[in-house]
Amino acid sequence: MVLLDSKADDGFQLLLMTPKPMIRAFDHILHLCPLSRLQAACHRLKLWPELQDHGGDYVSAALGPLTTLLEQGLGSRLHLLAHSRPPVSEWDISQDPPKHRDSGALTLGLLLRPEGLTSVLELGPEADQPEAADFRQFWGSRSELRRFQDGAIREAVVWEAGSMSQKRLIPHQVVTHLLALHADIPETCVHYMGGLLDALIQGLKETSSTGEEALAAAVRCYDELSRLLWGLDGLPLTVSAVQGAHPVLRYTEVFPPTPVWPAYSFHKHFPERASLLPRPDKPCPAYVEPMTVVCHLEGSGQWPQDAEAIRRVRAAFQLRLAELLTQQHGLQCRATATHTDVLKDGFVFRIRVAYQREPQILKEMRSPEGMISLRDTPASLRLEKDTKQLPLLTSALHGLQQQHPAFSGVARLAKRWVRAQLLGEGFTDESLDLVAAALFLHPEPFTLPSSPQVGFLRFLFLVSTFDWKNNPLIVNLNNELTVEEQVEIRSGFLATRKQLPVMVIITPQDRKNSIWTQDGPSPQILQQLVVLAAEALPILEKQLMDPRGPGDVRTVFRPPLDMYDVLIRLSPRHIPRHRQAVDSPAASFCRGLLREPGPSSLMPVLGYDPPQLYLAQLREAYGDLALFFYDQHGGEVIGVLWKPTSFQPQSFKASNTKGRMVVSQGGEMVMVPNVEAILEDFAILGEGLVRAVEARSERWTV
Amino acid sequence: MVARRRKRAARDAEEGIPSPPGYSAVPIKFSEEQKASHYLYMREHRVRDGAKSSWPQKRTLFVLNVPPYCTEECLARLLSPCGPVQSVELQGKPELTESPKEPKSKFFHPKPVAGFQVAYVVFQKPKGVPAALALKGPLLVSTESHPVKSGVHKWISDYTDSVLDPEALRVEVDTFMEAYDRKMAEEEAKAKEEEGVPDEEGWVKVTRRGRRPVLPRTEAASLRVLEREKRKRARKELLNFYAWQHRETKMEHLAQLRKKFEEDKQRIELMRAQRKFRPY
Repeated sequence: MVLLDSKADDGFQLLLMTPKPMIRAFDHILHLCPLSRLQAACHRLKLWPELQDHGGDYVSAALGPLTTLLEQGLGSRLHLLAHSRPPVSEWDISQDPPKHRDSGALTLGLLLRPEGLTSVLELGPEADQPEAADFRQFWGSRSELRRFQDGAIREAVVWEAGSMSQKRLIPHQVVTHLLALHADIPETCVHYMGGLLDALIQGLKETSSTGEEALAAAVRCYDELSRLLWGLDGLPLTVSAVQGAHPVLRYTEVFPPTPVWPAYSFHKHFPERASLLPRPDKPCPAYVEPMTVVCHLEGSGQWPQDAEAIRRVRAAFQLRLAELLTQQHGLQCRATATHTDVLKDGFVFRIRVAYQREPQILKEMRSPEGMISLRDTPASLRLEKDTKQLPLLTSALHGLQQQHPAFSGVARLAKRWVRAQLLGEGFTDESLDLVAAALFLHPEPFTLPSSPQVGFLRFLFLVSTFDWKNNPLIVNLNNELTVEEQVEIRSGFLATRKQLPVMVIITPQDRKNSIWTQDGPSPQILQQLVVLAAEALPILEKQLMDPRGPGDVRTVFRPPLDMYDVLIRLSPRHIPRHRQAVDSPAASFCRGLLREPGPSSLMPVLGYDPPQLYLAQLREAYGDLALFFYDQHGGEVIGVLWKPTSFQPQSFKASNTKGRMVVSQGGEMVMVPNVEAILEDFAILGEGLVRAVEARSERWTV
Repeated sequence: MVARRRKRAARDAEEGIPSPPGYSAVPIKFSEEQKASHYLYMREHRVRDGAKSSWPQKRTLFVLNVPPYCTEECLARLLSPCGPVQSVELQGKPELTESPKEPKSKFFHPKPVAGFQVAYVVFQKPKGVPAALALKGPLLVSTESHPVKSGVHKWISDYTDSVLDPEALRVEVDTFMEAYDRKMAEEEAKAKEEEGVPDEEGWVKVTRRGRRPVLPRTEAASLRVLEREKRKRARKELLNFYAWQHRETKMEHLAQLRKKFEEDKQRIELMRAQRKFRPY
């Protein structure tokens, strides 16, 4: 009713025209198959009167008692339990009706309460009360007498679950235990589709956790660092604010960082700069990405008013910060002109000192008469984005994660999918996080997702069905936008549609410009994403709804490679994130990390990712002839797509000779791309990394 | 000059390497193993009469399409058989206007990733230029005696170079700030001298240090002043006095209504086209 009354959303469209299949509406789904077991269940539950009432239909007879049993067992974890039977097929009048056991599988959907996800304990009545006997009888062997801290001795059931992902699957344990105990349905007949996609966001070599604990550890380390920074004395201006600006600090980094303890024998030492360097004869060292932290100092009028002078003063601050952190807290630091890298407990943070008035000074332009006017320049926009808006967004999403703990899993899985489809570089990290946040802030007509799987399906649905051309995606973080403002934004959107980028995401901090998608996807890449999502959704849903088992859920995560003109295959030796690949490799190279904390007197190799360096060179040199696609999480292949306009012969221009050669066509000198030399260049520029260059030369003609 | 160019173009056409008019094409490869090569297009660097250029006339060679793995040292080495090379400069785009080249600090202006570039090669003697234009090639960037790093080795050496010395940074920052402070102090002293002193026509410049409060010279401040003036004027004028004013206001009102109606019509068309619920 609230939805129908709300003026901001299109209630009719959402309530009456959005399909809600079971797999997308319910957090966990389970299939009971084969149905012949329900006959045994009826006998066990002594349901002969009901069996007679339903005329021998044991499925309908068992359904009611089974659902009450499960509802009682799941208790406060459950919001709603629903069932779905396959429809009875028609049969010819002269034949017997089909047997019940042939009519497919019984599907139950569980809608879970987010609050119940973290409890591992089912509390029963006190041991001396008569209800305790009922409790023991209900839970069977799992119910134990336990003494609690308040002195009471109660019956309790404790489930083993170490990490967050295991706790999310506690309903699975409850259901299988109860069905086996009371209804004689063994575990092999229960197919639970709750955590099948978790494998894709699991860390390297970890099978029991999907990384929430690692993210929490990184955020704790960041909190300690910010406390150190606040308490730092000796800086000419004290620190007034420390804000994070990295996906780890908003809990949406796909593979969270683990503490890094580099093995010194694996690297080359550079003792003058207290750093480790990669060695050419060893495989590439592990990839360590420093987490950006923006540090604001107290206001002061002493800053110079000239842009170059401000940069030098900032460099002086970075140096002083590094000195003080090393002297006062013994942390290994390395300062450069724009940032200071700090190694703390195996995590590396990149601290950037920011001056609030710097964007304004960059915007100042003097007209010839001496009048100062403020105009946005690319440098000032970039600085504002990095030092003002990114920290605000990070803290807003951090708050969202505290409210909805499932946000992190959904955002990470969604980003993993987009990057696995080789489209990761078309979209900024922040835009994908905001699309995932929209699923939590505007879940209508669904309820809030409690598991990554259902959130991911809804993400695919949103991406494939949202009308990006005519509607902005409004993400109302912290409920700051009122209904009138939303209506105003929508009506103003159509008027300025031409100046806006092709994918528009509006937040309360950014009501007009959609800054996160300004350089974002081009129309072709957005279209490709929409098409891929529309294809992937039915395939994945069918796999998950299949009662016999899901098959290979990684199918939708493998990109189609036949649409690329050239494939560059990389050798895993120099891909540091190789283990993060969708099909985790059986064996990979040692990357020079120790398991236990080791010495931390030298800074590890930071931000060294050969595939990204290679791609940067390729894009700079051939960016106007081709587009390059790569999966940054351990992808082994780079897809190259020639731009069709670049293959048309052009007349000679001194500014446009990159990679082209002159041929004479019809008596005239025209420029065409020098494709053979370019293909050889791919191999030269990536020497050591590139294993093979496969040119599908039937796909293009010069 | 023209005859020479035509002969050269004819000669190149005979040898099978087509080149644009005025340029000569020289193939260049990374090493012996490559089969296909890129082509450097060279010509003597000329500017229009009267325009100035940073490079000396007659001795400068302008090269297009320098591949990314060819550095300045490589190019100097490859062209040294044509004559002693004084300097080589690689740029992203051909120089269109003259700009003063100040030395770039490696801390504050790190070199961007290089793609295909344009080179200006200055020889010590003018005869180097025609010798270079007559080169046949194919030029080899990386040879046994002068190997050039690419791929993993290059990235490792780039990473090593990127780890910079904080002491050198400190020294550079200190020298810059000293020079800046000195410049600021000089400007202050000069402004203080000229305080209240009229110039040759008798005008006295109004600065922040004067006795009367002054508006900052920004666009925002001047817009505010203009806004205030406009409001004062609007308060004084009568809007409903003359007959033509009545007529004008009514016509404007009607035109605005018409415009809004058109916009609404368009919006409704769009909404109707986007409608997804079509029960019939």
